[in-house]
Parts: sequence; C-alpha cells; structure tokens
Amino acid sequence: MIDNKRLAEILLPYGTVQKGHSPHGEWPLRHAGNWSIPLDEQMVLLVAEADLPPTVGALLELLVPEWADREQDIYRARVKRWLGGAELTDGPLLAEALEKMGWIAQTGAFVVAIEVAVGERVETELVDAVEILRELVTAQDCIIETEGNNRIYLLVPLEPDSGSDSRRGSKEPLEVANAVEGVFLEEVSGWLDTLGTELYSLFRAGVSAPVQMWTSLPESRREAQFALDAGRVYRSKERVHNFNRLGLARVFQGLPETVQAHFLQEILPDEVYSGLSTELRETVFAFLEHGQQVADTARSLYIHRNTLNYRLDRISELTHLDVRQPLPAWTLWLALTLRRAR
Amino acid sequence: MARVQLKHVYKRYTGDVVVVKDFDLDIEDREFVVMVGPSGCGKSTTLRMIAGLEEITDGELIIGDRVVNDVHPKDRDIAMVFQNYALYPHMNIYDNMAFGLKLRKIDKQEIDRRVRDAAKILDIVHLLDRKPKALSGGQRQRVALGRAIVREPQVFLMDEPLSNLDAKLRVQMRAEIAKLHQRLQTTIIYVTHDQTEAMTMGDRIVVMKDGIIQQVGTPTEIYNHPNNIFVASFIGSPSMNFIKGDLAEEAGSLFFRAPGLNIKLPEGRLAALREAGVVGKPVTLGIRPEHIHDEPVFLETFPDSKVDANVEVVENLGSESYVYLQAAGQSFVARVAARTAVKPGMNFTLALDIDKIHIFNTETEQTVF
Repeated sequence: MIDNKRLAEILLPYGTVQKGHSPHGEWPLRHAGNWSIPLDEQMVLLVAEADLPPTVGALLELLVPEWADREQDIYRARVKRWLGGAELTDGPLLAEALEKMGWIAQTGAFVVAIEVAVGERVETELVDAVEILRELVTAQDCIIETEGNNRIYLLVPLEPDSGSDSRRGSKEPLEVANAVEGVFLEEVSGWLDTLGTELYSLFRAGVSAPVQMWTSLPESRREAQFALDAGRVYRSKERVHNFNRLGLARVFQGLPETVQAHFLQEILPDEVYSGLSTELRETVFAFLEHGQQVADTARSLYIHRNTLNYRLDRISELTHLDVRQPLPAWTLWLALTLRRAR
Repeated sequence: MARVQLKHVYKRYTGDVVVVKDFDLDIEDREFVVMVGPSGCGKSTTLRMIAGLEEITDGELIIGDRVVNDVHPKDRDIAMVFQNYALYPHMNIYDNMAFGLKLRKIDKQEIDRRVRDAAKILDIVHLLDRKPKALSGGQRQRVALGRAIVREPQVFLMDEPLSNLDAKLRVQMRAEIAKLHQRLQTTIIYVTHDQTEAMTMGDRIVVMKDGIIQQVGTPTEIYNHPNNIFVASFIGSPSMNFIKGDLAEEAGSLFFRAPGLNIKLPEGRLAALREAGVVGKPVTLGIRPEHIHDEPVFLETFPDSKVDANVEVVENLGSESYVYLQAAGQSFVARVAARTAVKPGMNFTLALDIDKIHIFNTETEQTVF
C-alpha cells in the first residue's frame, strides 16, 4: 500500500497542492504528463513529470507497472460511474477510458438497461441481480452498474470473433450484424429468465443498437433507456426490447407530450374516454386485431355477433368514430393506446 | 405437495387488453397438468400469475390451503423453469445449482444435501465438477431443472422448458421430465405450444385459446372428444380433416352432404343431432387421418362413406404413410399403412369410419358429437 501523505511530502517541492479529488481513492494517477497524488477527498498534489529530477522520476517509473493496473481500475470506475448515471462523461472521454482499458472499438458492444418489471423494487433484490449478472454474463470485461434503486446498466463488449470472417462466410454485412444481434438478444433473454428463476421477479431489458464507436456510447445508453421505457409501456407483454426493433412504440414514445395531449384532447377527451367501458375498449382492440371481421371478433370475445354489432354502434355513438371504417378505427386505436400509456 | 386452485381468474393489462378470462381450474396434489395453446393464448401469463410474477386482476389463487393472491412469489413455495435457461458459465455444476440457495443464505450443509440429492435424482452426480460448456444440451437442461429441484418446492412451474432443444433431445427430455415427476411426486404445471408434448406428458391437458380455457381433460378425452373445432384441429398430428356441408334428413335417416359427398350418419347419433337443432343447417364434419381407410374390408363395411380421391403427395414415414388427397373439392390427409402402394396422381377409393366422425355446428364451432 502506498503512503500518499509521505509521497506528497517528498514530492511537494516539485508540484502544487490543488483543489480536486481523485475519483479513485488513494491511488495516484498518471495522466497527460502529470502525476496526481490524492491527499484527501478535496485536495490533490499535482506534479508535472517534466519538473521532476530524473532520479525521482525514475523511482516513480519503477512503480508505474503497479500503477498502470490501478490506472485501468480508475478508467473502469469512470465508465462505471457514467453507466450508473452518476457522472456526465462525454463520448471522447469514454472512448479514451475504454481504449486505455484495452477495449478495441472494432469489436463493438451493446448497452443494456434492466429493471424489475413486476413486483417490489427492493434494493437487496437489485444487489442480488447484479451479483447474478456478474456470474451470468459471458463477456468477462462487461461493466455493470446500478442507477439508483431501479435499474441496472450493462456495457457488454462483443466477443472478438462475433463478426469474424469465419462466422461471416458468404453473408452480407447486414446479415452478420443481424445474426450477432439475434444471438445477443437471445443471451439477454436467458439472463432475464435466470434472474426471474433465482429472484422470483419478472425482469425487463432495453438493448441499444450495436455500439460502433466508443464516442457514441452516451447515445447508446440513451437508446437502451428509450427501448426499455417504450417497451414497458407499448409492448408490455414482451420482456427484451431492442432499440432497433421498436416499431410503433418508437413513434409513440418519441411523440412530444404536448402533441400527445392535443391529439387526445381532439380525438378522445377525458369525458369521452371515461364513457368507454373496459368492455368497449377491449372490443376496439379485438375488432382491429381480427381485421375488422365481425364473425372472427365475436368468436374471439365469446359474444354473439349481434352483441358485437351493438357494441360497435355504441362506440361510434360515444366517440363519433365509426370503427367499421379503417381510418377512424386506427385513429381510435392510437388514441386508446396513448391513453393506456398515460 | 400441494393442490392449486384458480377460481375465476382474470388478467387485464392496464384496463383494456384482457389476456386471461375466467380461468377456472382445480389442479390436484401431485398432478402433472399441461397448459397448451397457440402463441398469445394466455398460457404463460396464467403460469406467471400462479408464480406471482404477474398480478391477478380478478379472481382467487389458492396453493395448498391458503389464498396467495397477495403472497410474495418467494413465499409461495414454487420453483420455475423457463425456456431460456442461462447457466453461470464460470461456475461448476455444483455451484450453478447451489448459487440461488447461497443468495438466500441457506446453511452450507443444507445446500450440500439438496444439491447432491437433486444431482442424484437427475443422474448428474458425475458432472458436478464440470463447467457448463463441457456439457451437452440435455445435460445443461437437467442442470436447469436441478436449480429448481434444490428449492424443494410444493409446485413446479415450467414455461416451455424444452423449446430451445433440438427435436431429438426434446423427445428424450420429455421422457426425462415425466420420469422426474414420478420420482419427485410433486405437482407440476407445464406450459407448451407443442401438442405432442402435451399429449405425451400430462395427466390432464388444459387447451387454451384467446385467454379462455377451451377444454380440460385427459389426453385421451381431449383427443377423442374435443369440445369444438379449435381443440379438434389443435390436438393431433396430422390435424383432423374438416369438411363443410349440410345435414339433410331423408326417409328417417340423416345424411351429411357436401359437393361430391353423401354420407349416411349412424342411427345412434340421430337423437343428438336433432336435439342440437342442426338438421337442415350447415355443419362441419371432422375425421382424423387414421380413421380414413383404404383396406378392402373397410370399403365393404362402410359403403355409405366411400370417397373417390386423387392422390397429391405421399409421405412415407416407414411404419405408415401420410397421403394428401383431393376429394369432393377439398383437401384431406389420410394415415395409411406404409405397404399401401399409392403414388401421386393416382385415383384412390377410401372409406371414412363413420363411427369415428365428429360433427360440429359450423356457426358456433361447438361439437355436436
């Protein structure tokens, strides 16, 4: 263990004490031609390498290998804090950190956001979930961090050969990318099932598009978050939500709140919505799911076709939208879907 | 050991989409019940409600002798096995099975006992020191089952656990799970979309569609006496043949009539048909492929149900052949002995075993007999 205070006393003539904190506790950091020796939580001693006498510099160099490892930990911790939302770090800084950690940009990665889909969000459960994920994820370098008590974020590097020539064969690049994505989504689904089995909770995940450049990582984290948020609301029956395959959920989730509010006020204002019973709302969804076919819809709802026709008339009466016509039907469907999400 | 009762259970997502409707089922202690149905029929949602992973919107769930609607999943004394079992790649098999128990702070000796007992039941004692990557697909599946067994639950819930296995392994694991049920003597609720799995594994089958139970019964009951066209078509492979037509009465006898077909129905069924009020109305005739015969003795026995057909495709399975035919403007499939010398393009006379036919009300799709 290095005695920083003693080290600082020796190096004090060559540097200056400054406000600042080493995010990595007691370990000195070598960065951009400077040594930074933490003194306490608020102060560091900053020494320019060029200002050190060669013998002192050489002695410090002897410690470099050990510190190089620590340097990796420091960068890893930075990425972790960003992943957990505790630190706003921009793309270039993340890229620098990952490159220092030896990550190869060409390999690619995914950002995954996981949350407890159903049940109490107990802190201990999230801690256990992180522990399980550490054991489950095959990529050894994977970085896992929690955001508050709600979510777990993972930065998962792809295996170096996942898009390799041997796997590529005669396939087009897009086919290879889709195959890699498919395998990864299957793996995520396996994690969720194991988390569910071990912790008796239902988990849900949002997966970013494949990360092509480390500098775009902040965007990838937002994608994973977006996929999770959109999926939870608009695709509640599925559990793995892929940013690249959100379909209509992307449009709904991306709609500004004011646009949604205006649309609902116009198509399905509160007083009309409250007049539509659960039964009538269910009928709208079933009618559209069955291609607006009366016989099929009636059969699926286990009601007589006359009852269905009565319900369809009642819906038109209340909403002034004739769901037997395609455009009004989809307009109402959209309004009901947005209502459901609010 | 436990009995599981679902009383008028409903699942609604945010008020509008009803995925399970009025699910009423009593599962006996130590029973092996299979819920089967097409994708989106509500079977997995029902299983998750039993597990406590989905809230029950309405109705009551009783496990053993207590209502567990509001009991945390951890305290329901259940264990789950899902389709996508992911094993811990860096742990050996012993630790893979023990990890969940360690998280629950169970005593070390107790963990050891449970893991070794489960390994013995699953016949994987010799694999305990190995890592998952050294295991075959079937062995990995057994480890996944082992993780559930070590919990020593009252009820096992299995959600399509064999779906990720190849066809050969699936057949093998079907038998393994059935044997496991006999050894564990516990209640198993199993979900699958595969009717063969349902038929071969379950003491009873629950057929579901659109969130509603279509029929509950033993495999034989469901196969021989389906409640409606959906159950009749879903259970059995190849599927039952259906012919749309009308019922006509002539000189005190009833005939099923479709273009090119005029089949006299058995006397013993007349009362049921009259009572159902389908005489003179559109009905659907159903016949399973194995009840269509080409042997001369059958053609003589059932002269009133002879059909001239044209052979389109023949699938020879070794012990039998599936013959795909065109007759009376409709497509049929017949299961005949492999020795039968039928070839595509040839004309072929068949007889329907009229004692085995089913009649459905075309409008309601419900079974008349």
